[in-house]
Amino acid sequence: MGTAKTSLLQGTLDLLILRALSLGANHGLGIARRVQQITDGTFDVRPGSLFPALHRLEEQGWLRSEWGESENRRRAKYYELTKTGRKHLEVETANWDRVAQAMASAIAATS
Amino acid sequence: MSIQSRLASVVKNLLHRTRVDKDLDDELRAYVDMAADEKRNAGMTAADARRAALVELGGLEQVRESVRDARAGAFLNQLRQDFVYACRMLRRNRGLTTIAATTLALGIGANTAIFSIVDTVVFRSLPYKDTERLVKVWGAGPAEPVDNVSYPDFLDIRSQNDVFEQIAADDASNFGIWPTATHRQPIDGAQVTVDWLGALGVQPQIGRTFVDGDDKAGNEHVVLLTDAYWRRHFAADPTIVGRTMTSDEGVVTVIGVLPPNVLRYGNDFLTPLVAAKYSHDRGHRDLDVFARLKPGVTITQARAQLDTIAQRLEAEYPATNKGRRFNVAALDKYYTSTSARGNRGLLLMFGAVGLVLFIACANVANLLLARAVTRSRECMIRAALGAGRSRLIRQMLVESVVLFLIGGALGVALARWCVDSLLALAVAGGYIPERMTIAVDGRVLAFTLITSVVAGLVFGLVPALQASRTDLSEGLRGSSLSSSGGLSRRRATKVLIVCELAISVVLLVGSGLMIRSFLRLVSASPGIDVENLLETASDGGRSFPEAVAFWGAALDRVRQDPGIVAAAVTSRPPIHGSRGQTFAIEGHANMATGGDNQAGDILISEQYFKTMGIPLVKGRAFTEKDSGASTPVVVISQSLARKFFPNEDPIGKRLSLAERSPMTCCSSAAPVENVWREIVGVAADVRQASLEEQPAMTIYRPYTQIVEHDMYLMVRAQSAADATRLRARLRDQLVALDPSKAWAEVRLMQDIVRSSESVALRRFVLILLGMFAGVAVLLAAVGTYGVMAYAVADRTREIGIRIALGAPHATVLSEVLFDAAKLTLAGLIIGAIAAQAFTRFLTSMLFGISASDAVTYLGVSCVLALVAFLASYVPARRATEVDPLIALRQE
Repeated sequence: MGTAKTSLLQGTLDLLILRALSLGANHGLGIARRVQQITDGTFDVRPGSLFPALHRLEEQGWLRSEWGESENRRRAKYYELTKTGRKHLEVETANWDRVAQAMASAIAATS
Repeated sequence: MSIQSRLASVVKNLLHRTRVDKDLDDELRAYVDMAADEKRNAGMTAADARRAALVELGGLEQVRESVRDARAGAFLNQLRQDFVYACRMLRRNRGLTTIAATTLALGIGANTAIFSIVDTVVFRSLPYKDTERLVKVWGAGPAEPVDNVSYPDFLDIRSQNDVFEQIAADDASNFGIWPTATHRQPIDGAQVTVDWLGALGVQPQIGRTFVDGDDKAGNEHVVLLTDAYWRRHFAADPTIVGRTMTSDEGVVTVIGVLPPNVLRYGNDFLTPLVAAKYSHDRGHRDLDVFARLKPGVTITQARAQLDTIAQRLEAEYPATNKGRRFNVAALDKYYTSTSARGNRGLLLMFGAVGLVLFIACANVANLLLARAVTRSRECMIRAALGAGRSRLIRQMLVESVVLFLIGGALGVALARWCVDSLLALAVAGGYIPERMTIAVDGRVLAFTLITSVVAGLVFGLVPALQASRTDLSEGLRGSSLSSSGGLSRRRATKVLIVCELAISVVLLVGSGLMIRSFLRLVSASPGIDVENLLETASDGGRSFPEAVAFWGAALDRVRQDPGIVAAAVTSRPPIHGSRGQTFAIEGHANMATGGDNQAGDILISEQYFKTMGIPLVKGRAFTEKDSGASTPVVVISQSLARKFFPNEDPIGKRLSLAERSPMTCCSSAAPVENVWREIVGVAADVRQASLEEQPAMTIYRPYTQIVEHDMYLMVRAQSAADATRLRARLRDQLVALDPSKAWAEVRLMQDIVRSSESVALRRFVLILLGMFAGVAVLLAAVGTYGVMAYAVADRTREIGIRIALGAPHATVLSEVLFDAAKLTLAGLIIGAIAAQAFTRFLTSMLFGISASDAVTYLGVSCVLALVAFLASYVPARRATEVDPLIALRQE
């Protein structure tokens, strides 16, 4: 896997996670399911990439975590957006929009 | 592995120990549990659901590993960002960075330089193999508790013991070679038994070691150079092996170079000790002996066996070995105890230089604190954007550590530059063995690195806390002048300044005491006229007639020179110490029982008192008529006369000394007898031992009635010009007289006194403490200035209002000065108390004054008060020049 692709994917994943959490705090499994939901099942985020991403984002100060109890009374670690995280999400969303529009028009022009 | 990923794994291991790992495990387990719940709800059996959930997770260990990588990567990434940001900030504030880095370079550089010496001399263990099994063996006679060992005794110990694996000896006396035929300045070597290096477990760094056969007469013209000599005189030439040099014994060949610091005393090379040529006289004790214990043998066992051997030798050779024992001690302990005084001095300087570093750091912390005001607005903006406080603090800490590292790097450069001159000072003062190799090496760099990082963290913390104090409601009002953060910042600043002033007091008092001691010491009269007096030395020969003839000829030769006032020979010139001798006075009963009938024993020629400028109080000096055939005579010192002849004339009285027959002067095997000598003169007192010790009782005997083989030739020149000329030419004249004899370098007595241990010992401490104190006062002055300037700037608005309301300028001025005076007073009081404690360590260095010398304390207080006043006067003046209009517009 090339670096460009990885970072693109990583950026995408980060954005998806932040977006999923902008709807409210959630635990790992909940985030995975919510991403699936909001992307109409296009992205199935596996734990192998989900957890590293969550910890990285936390280390960067965009998320913070807390232990809590899930709907079916299980102890789970809940993640939520920090103020910087919310700010970052806004910036990244704007960036993504710009990139997506550019990509769309580029592809439209060549076809 | 790339550096980045290696670093990442280090960080990972640091970050992810137990707690974080356990947390992660819990989190993953919860994931599996919930996923299984979900699948069971969708209709799977419990077992299937669990299996499916585990499959979904993928390998537990892989997930765990990639989470760790992600965290470590993120941490490093931030650190890198912080670093880049820090560099940018430091570059932007070029003025502050330059001042801070220079200050730190001074502090850290001085510490690095001192540490490189202290580390090599005090902290590092001896550079030998299995040092714990190495022991020093020495002799102990009835008169001398620490003495060397004679060659026959050494051979007997070697053959009769079964406690030592190896035993080796060296003789570092009287051996010189000349590096080139034109360079007639001998360098000092030691003769060693061929297994000497093997016993120490030392291999040459280049070339070969000595082997059996090198010590056979004819093969012995080979030398191993010390690392220091090789570096200094051959620029560390790797092709040195095979090079030849000229010695008094012919041409010698270099066979190798020793590793650094193997020799603890001042020798430049080793050469084999040749049994066939070495003195087999049991009374000739010149060997330093050490040995390697067999595994499992204790020092007590070795001592017991050496006792047995000593008793056997005593019975067999009573003439030379009566009452003689051998002693043994661990080699490292032996060295530590012989160098204890020097080590204490070095550690003292290490402590003092630490204080300098503290002041430097405090000054930089003050600068950073002052800047924390500007930075806090930047921090507030970042905090408003969501940066956590810990993130901000980390950022500020990285910045101060980078700053300290820059200072550290400059400091290393500074240390490299000054370590050689420092070393020369320390060697001259007897603090460290001569000719050691001291380098700014890995250990030293590690010390500097750790010091910089720790100091950067410690002294960066308060400024970082200050800057990151982000009380939003207050900060966004945009006025730092009224912030309460300013209050605690000012408090921190004041504490730092008081500390700086107090430390300056300590260092100033220390150097003040040293300066006063030094002045008293150098003005202390040694009892001789040191001007235009020259000294050299030689070995007169092994028999009495030979020695007397040799010295007589030498004196005749030098007296022909028209530039000479007088010349004489002596066994020990002043400041060189003397050997103690017990004497008895005719008609004085119970003399032998006291311990006070010991006097320095010095052999001199006619003209000695005239040459040295020692006044003769009574009677006559020796003349050429006092010879082996005439009445035995003696001259005593005034202190001896005063003590034993308080109310009578000593001239014509007799005293006796234990003497060996003159005809066998240099062989200690000769029988000892008491000789009655008639007192013919009384000479004024001389500081024979050192400048700092009171003159001791001395007995002078004519060398024509008894002579030693090593004597000094003293020459008094007419004028300074003659002294300079003779210094250059005297040795050539003497060598021409007898080319087989080597002469020591001709030195001026003035230089000898000036470089004598008691002076040099203090010069080292004096120069260092003086430099430290100078730097400390300078930094404290700059710090005080900075603090007062900021205090005034902080209060510009308030002062402006008061001036607008009509407050007189004088009131404003005195108020600011009063603030500074309070700080200064606090610093002086704390400093004076601390100085009392610190100067206790200096007591042994003081001369003629006490450690609580009032003049010094008073002087230091005045100096520092003046400096603090000047440093705060400029900001105070500025306060009075505040224009109320401008001040109020600042709002």
